[in-house]
Amino acid sequence: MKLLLISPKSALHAVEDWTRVASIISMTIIVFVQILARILFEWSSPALEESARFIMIWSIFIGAVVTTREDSHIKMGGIFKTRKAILWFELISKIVCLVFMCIFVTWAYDFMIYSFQKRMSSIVLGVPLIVVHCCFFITGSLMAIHFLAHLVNHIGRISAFYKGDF
Amino acid sequence: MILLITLIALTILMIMAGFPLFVSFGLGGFAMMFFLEMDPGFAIPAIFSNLNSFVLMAIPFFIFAGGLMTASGLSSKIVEFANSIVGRFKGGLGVVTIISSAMFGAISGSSASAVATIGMTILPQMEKYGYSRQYATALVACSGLLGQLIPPSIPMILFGMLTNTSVAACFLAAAIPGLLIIIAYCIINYLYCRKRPEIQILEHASGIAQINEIAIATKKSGLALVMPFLVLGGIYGGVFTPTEAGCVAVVYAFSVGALTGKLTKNAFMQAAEETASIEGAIVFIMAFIFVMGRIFTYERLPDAIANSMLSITDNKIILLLLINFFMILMGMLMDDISSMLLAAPLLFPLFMKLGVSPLQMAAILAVNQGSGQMTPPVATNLFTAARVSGIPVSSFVKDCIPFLIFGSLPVLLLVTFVPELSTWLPELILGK
Repeated sequence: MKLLLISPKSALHAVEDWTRVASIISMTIIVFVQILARILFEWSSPALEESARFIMIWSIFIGAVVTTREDSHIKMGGIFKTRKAILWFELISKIVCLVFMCIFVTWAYDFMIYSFQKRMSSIVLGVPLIVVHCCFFITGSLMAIHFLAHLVNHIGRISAFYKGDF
Repeated sequence: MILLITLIALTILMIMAGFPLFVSFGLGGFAMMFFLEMDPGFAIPAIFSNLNSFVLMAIPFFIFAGGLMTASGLSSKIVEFANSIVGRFKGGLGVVTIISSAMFGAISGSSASAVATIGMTILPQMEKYGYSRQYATALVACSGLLGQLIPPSIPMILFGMLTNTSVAACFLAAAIPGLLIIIAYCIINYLYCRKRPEIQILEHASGIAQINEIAIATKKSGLALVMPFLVLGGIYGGVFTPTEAGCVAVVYAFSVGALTGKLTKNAFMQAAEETASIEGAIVFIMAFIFVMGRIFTYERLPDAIANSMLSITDNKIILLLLINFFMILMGMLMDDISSMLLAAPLLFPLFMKLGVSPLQMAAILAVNQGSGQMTPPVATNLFTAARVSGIPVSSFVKDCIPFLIFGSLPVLLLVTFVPELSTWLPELILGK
């Protein structure tokens, strides 16, 4: 059972890692091709710029997913100093994050369905905008899953603290 | 309005309590929508329309370029170059730190990455030549401010985007304040070192030997030194936009690293992964600040702030001092990017009503928020420097005070009351 869970988890992490690297590299290549094309051939394509922008939006949100997975979102030092207080505050923080991500996913789902129903398409490329609009729902769901995993792990840490194993 | 201000205060409390910034801003925005009875349907479209921006792409590009430069060993060459020129004077290594931070800022545009990169290279050398670890760490932390004043600068990209001001002009607006801070810091460093005999200088060499050393260091670091010229020359020569210049910087750093054999596949992958993570962490927060900004606009909060400040007094000098005081407090409580994202749209109408140009406003915010990174409780530069040097912030924070009081604050006042310091260079290069 554990193996069955570990394998999809590693696959998911690998997909997240590769997507973030691929998005950054492809964004760089597209913009550089555009610069070269403009300087060398005096040819400029708004389609290239639009595709780079869409990839950037994916890269931002995939980056946020990995940041969530690594539990390294930017935060200030905090006001709690004792081990016990920090553990309880972290628990509250993780619950709040999970609840907020659920709200975000709900908004993102509504937006995705709206975009699909209205058959919105991009101005230059003419591709269905759902390919970008769905990123909020997909990455939001992934972040919610990672927050849930952190929450479960953290409850384990609190339990270990009270058992004296921590 | 009182409800809105209370909710902003709660958001700031959440940030200070230690909640992740994105959730503090996100939940703050959600609470505003809920209590002000707004339809939350605009939130995701607002995020999409704001993030769907070519200007914003400059941020990951400059972070990536900085990462590749460090991975290729080019950043340490910058330190060697600066050392060959000024390392032989009393306090020379301190000046090397200041100038290297400025030069690294001309590549990466970020103060925290300048602190981390320059700190790792220079701190062991400074200790070797008799500088106390506390002073050396303080100098590295304070010099990080230059990373966001010397163009290109990530906060200036954000300011340009939020206020519809030319990013290229914003870069130039912060450049002269950056140079003034370099001069002020060099003087403070000299006065500190002059009284301390334990601080040694590099071995004296004869005139010709020294010229030879400078020539060798220039040759070694030549590839790194080309980068700022390529980026800034490209932007102000009208060849690239700031975003494209960031992209060219990435390709250049990659090419140099690959051709010199210093950039391994693993180092490249790590730089790309880190870029995506930093981009994800920073821009994800921005997404929710955009939503909040939209709510502020719907509720006409920026206008209300402007009117209430003007109702206190119509004396421009007092108002500018009040704004600076408020901004310093904000800089103490928030990191530079969050405070820029909140302050720029909120204060823009007030600055305009006071007759302050957007470029001067950009420079005031840049110096102010950069200085905020040196003032606890939230001081990104201090924490980054502490992590690099391995000593607690409390042990070197007092060494930062002279740089803040005699360096950053006088420059802030000059920028506030002498508009030409921020407007002359953009007008000279880009025209009115």
